Amino acid sequence: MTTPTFSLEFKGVTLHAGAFGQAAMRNVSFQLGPGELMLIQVEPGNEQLPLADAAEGLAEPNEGGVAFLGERWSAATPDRQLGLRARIGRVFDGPGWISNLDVLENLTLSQRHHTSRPVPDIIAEAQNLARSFGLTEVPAGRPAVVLRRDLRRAEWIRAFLGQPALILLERPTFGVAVEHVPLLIRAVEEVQTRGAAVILTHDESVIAREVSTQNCLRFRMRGDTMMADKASLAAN
Amino acid sequence: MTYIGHIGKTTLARWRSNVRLFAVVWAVLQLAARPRYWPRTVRAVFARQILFTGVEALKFVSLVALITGVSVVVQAQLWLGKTGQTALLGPILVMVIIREVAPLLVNFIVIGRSGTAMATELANMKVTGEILVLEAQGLDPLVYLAMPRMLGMAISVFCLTIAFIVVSFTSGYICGILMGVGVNDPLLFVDSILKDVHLPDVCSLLAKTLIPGMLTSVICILEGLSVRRAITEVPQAATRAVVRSIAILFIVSVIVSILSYV
Repeated sequence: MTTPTFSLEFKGVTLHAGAFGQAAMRNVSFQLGPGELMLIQVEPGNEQLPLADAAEGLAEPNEGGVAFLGERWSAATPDRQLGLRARIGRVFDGPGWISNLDVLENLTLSQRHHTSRPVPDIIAEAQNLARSFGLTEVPAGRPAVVLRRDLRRAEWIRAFLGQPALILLERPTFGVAVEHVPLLIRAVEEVQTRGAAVILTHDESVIAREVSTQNCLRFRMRGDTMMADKASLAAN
Repeated sequence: MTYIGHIGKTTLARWRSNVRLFAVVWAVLQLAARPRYWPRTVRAVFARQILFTGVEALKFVSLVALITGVSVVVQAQLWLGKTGQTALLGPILVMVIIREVAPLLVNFIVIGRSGTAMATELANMKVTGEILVLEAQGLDPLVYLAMPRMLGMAISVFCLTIAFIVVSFTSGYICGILMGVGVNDPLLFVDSILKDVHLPDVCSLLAKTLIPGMLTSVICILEGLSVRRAITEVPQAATRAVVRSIAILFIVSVIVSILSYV
């Protein structure tokens, strides 16, 4: 089996406005290769995009198609879809926790479910990531009892845990102190060097400033249209 | 729409709903037969379900069994003794306790205690987007949520029913001794019951615990997941789950009773 050229590919994807407040996206086409970062600046009032759901094959496009690691979601069997999703890390734009599991169980859920890695190894990796994101350790207790700013950074841990091939970061710095933003950007750059593709949506200029132009495609939303930032395309 | 049309529409809706129910049960049983659908996360949910539905309900089930034993077993001993029909003690206790009362009461307790909790939990998970969070991580809700809950509940109902039978007979025997009715020799008492437990009784017990256990858990899961986005739908889903579960419990009990006497 040949290695796919692109980690993620959108071909003429149109997604109507979602029932849960997600904005519409029209005729979106892009190819994201391994090690590339796609930075999307969202508009105020239209912060929630259906892009991540479509990238994971959870939202079926009204038009067009999405392929992950060379496989179209619409052609993959349900079991295959689950296997592919196991290779995607995500920070959700909205609640992203299973409330009856504690934070550590939440963070390690996917790894415990899909792999046979020993649990102490998974926990050790989670604790290392926690320290790299400025937390002393993974927050203890159920998500409902953890401070919101710590919880957001705990979501970063989950997204980066287990070396995913694609990381979807939906406004990951929402509610997080500005001094922690460089920690995230550093982690993004590290996973880029080992070949993971990253999509990061944001509504803060601090992100745009922190991210280097290396292997970075910059886009901005205008209504339902995703427009390329020509300066970043020229730099690449 | 005419009245007959309305009846037809309602009947078809019920029929589709029941077909869906049995389809989910069948799908879950098929999944459960394959070891690859039992990763450690699913095993953990399964163990937690047995702990919550089975172990934590044991105290209350024992209390109900104790009261049942005192009222039913003692009365049976008393009246059969008075009428000189002590030979019928075994058949009557097997028929009343093992075949009917124990499975029915345990199922009631489990529906009221765990069924509502299950429907409410899953409805809340749906409303707050937690199902999507699971799917986004590649976890199949049927495997991670439905399968361990259904099997955990069925096994718990069966084990609780066994515990109910043991406690009710024991309490009935002890109370009978204290009141001076019935047989004094415990071995004779046990033997008078065991000699009247036959294969149809065992099959009836299995059918009346495992089948309603599976069906009611799937009803609670489906009703819980049927909510859309409003938190106000959650109690409605829980109510629907309990009503449907009780209805299916009676239907299954009646069918199994009829079949076991045929």
